[in-house]
Amino acid sequence: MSFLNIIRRRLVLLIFVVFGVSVVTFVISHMIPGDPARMMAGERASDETVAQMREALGLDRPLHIQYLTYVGDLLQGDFGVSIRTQRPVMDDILRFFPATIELAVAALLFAIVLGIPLGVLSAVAKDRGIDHLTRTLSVTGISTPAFWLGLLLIYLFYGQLGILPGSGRLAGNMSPPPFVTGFYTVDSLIAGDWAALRSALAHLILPALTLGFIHLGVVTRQIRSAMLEVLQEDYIRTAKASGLSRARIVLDHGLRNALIPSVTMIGLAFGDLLYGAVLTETVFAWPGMGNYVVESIAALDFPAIMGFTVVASTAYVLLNLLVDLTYMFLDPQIREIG
Amino acid sequence: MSAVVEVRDLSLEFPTYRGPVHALSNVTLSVGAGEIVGLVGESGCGKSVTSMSVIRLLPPASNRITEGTIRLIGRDMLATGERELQDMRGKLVSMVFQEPMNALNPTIRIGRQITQVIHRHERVSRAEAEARAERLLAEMQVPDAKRVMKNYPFELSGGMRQRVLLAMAFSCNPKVLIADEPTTALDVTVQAQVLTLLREKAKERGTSVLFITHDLAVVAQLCDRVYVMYAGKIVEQGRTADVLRRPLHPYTQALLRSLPELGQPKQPLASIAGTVPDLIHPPGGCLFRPRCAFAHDRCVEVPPLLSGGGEEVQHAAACWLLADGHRDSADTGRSDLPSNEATTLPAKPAKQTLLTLEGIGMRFPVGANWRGRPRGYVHALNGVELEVQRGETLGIVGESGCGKSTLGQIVMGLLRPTDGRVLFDGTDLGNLPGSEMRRMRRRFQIVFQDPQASLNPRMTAWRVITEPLAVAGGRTTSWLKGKARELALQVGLRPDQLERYPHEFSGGQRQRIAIARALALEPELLVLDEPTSALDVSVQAQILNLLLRLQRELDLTYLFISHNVSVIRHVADRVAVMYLGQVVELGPTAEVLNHPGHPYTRALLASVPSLDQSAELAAPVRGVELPSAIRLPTGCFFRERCPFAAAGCDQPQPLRGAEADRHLVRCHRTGELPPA
Repeated sequence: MSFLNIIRRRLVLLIFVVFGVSVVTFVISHMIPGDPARMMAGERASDETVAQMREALGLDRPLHIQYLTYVGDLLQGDFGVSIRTQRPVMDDILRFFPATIELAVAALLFAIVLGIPLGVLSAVAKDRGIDHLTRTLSVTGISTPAFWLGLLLIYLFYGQLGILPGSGRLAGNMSPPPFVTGFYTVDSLIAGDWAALRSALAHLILPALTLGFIHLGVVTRQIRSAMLEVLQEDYIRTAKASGLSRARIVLDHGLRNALIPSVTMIGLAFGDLLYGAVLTETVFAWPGMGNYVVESIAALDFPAIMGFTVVASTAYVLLNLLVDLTYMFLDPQIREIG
Repeated sequence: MSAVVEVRDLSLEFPTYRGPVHALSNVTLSVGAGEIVGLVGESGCGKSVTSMSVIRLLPPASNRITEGTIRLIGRDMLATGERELQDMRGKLVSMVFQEPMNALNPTIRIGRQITQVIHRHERVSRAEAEARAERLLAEMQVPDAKRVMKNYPFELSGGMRQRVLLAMAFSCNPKVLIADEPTTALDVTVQAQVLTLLREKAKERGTSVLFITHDLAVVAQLCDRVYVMYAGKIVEQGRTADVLRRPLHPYTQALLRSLPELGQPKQPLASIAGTVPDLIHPPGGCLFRPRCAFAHDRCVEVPPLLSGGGEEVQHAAACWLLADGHRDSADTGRSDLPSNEATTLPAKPAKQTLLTLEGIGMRFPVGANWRGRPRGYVHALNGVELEVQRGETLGIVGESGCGKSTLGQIVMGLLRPTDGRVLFDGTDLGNLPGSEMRRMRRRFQIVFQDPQASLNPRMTAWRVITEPLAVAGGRTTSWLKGKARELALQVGLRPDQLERYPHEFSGGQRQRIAIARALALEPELLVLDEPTSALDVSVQAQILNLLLRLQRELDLTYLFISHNVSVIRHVADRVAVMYLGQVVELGPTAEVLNHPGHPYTRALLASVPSLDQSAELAAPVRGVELPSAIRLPTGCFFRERCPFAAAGCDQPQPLRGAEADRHLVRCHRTGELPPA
């Protein structure tokens, strides 16, 4: 199957996924006990005010009508207005979502850039010192709670050494770069604002390390075991028997094949990062989606919850598409058969 | 003749938790310049370990060389450093392995895999390396070499991949080529082509070849000299003709006698009793002693290589029988035939059809467009018509991809055919409701090729055997165990081993378990899908003997599927030859195999290597690969590869014969063909 075919297929699938997700979230959020109109109007508002509020929000209409109205608006890019913040949900998402993605991407980059070489090294030196060290590191990574690590890093680098900031996305006295992607690093680069770029990067380091550490362990282990398996393959023996050097065998013949099974895992890890960011965001006061969602749920802010769910599931489908395309890039056989 | 490879007194062990495995003991062998030398033996005999040791390819930590020397082109390989060894590998000595399907990197284009080796050893420009790679491919008779350079391995057949690997091995003109079972995974027609190619190229370039194989017939066709290995020792050596015609060692003799091609059809084969000794605690003296029919007092001492005498140069065996005062070494009599196997054939009962296949067609969807619809179909079976008579063995023979295994699965109801009907004892299996089908299914059972993969590793042997009975329910454990004991005795297993798990048995024993399981429901028909293909020849002989005995005792009907013509010749009453999902020839076994009517049957038979060295190995097919089963050829399916193709072959050919029901051939020129 060609790249084009798979993209076409996934986009069709996306429609169904978003439809399904929106129905399920819609139904569930309306089945939860609690009255958003009451929450908005306040504890001491009169029943009359609450009723008015309910009517204004359209909550008095039958469920299916409410749903159809919602989907109709959705198709026009209107996610509704947040009950809690009173801003259009779309605006909130554009503000908070890029922050979370920026953090997750940075964390994943950290995990991959360090995890792949460590995994390879560990496999090549199986059962020797470096392997034991790497394996200890990855087990530690997997079993360390993110909030604890976050606090430790803040204590060390912010509190004791004072070389890195411990909270927020940017120094307090700076204004965010003009919005293009929502990633402060990328946007400040586009704007040519070097001071903002440095500040954004500095703010990204500790949260990214905290969030990425678990996945560093996962990636290292995955690459290690995939490499060990690949190094047993007959074609590695062929390469050895033809006198190819060890580096060539490991990197050219081994790693490329070991990456194929690892790609799925890395894709899944990214999904995890998006959802797992909540704790890290809290520890570092990172103004991301995690906090926003938690607070929206607490406030029964349906438009916000729905908006987030739709965006997140879309992102997830697109992410899986990316994984499949990477697959095809790495494995010629999948390119052919699909 | 100066030796290019010289292994002297090599002993090697693999450390394990139970103690060292003595994988090689005092192996001495040599390969002269330009010579092709065979190293033959059954699995676990140490032949691959020997060959890997020659180029020091075993992981250093996994083994210990306890004594001996290895010299390659005058260099002491045990004293050579890893860097220098890398420089030698691929340049002075190269290797070709068994599984061409896995021996090439799946993510790198063919061209680069070959040029990589050239660049590693020689300073040449990229263009030069590419030109040489392409020339090598063409020399290895790879059609359209330019295109293949850009292909990935999965786009090529096994035969093509092995040619690519040969091109790679020859790319830097090595002095020595070590070939480890290079054709074992290939179909016979492809094997014939690759072997011919290998011999030609080696002789042309003066390359010495150390050829490792389990197949004595391949040795006969290819090798100048041969070494026979058993349990990590060389037990016999000599010129190929001498060793095969006048084997000196009882092991070599027994091995030769267990080959079905040397036995009488339907008669028990001589098999070697017992199993290979445990190499952690090897018996002292001659390692073959526990299984040897001629063992005597002196065999507790390790026998030296003793000459067979006469004018035969270098023909020697490690056996005390060759010392003075013992029997004539040329005696290869059949005195040690197992006596518990009856040797008379029962009279055939009246003809009664048990299984009928009517116009069976099977296609599998391939690929998918973006809506998930298949892009095409693999036409695995194309109108198969067969009848199996009660009590007979119908052999189905053909190469991979001919549809023989698919057919077996359809008979078993594991696959539902796209077209046609399966009638068992007159009942159409396609229309049976579930409960009836379950009742019916008791009457036919299947035995698969690989008993290691087909038995549940978490079940003890008695559970495996009685599972079909236990499924019905209502039986106590002690009843089931009793039944398992009965079945075990019937298939020659020791009842006291039934509490063991499958991995604790040898390959042959595991296949006995699989057979016992198939017999548990007292079926009438057994589908045997390559039941001996994963086994060594001496074990194969045991299993074939068992199957023949069970058939007589239990009045079973066999549908015997195999790629091995010799096995089919040995067991089958009638044979169906399949090609691209069609039966191209059908008839009594002797008639079809001695007077093949279809050009494909002839090609298949001519490709089977023979122990008779005067028989020229040939593959009389034209150099086109097996046509695609997705886009089937029009007319006769064999037309494009047939040396006798003529006008009229573009029409579909029916199966027909002079006498209805006797010997049918799907070829309209069969009467005009020159005698085979």
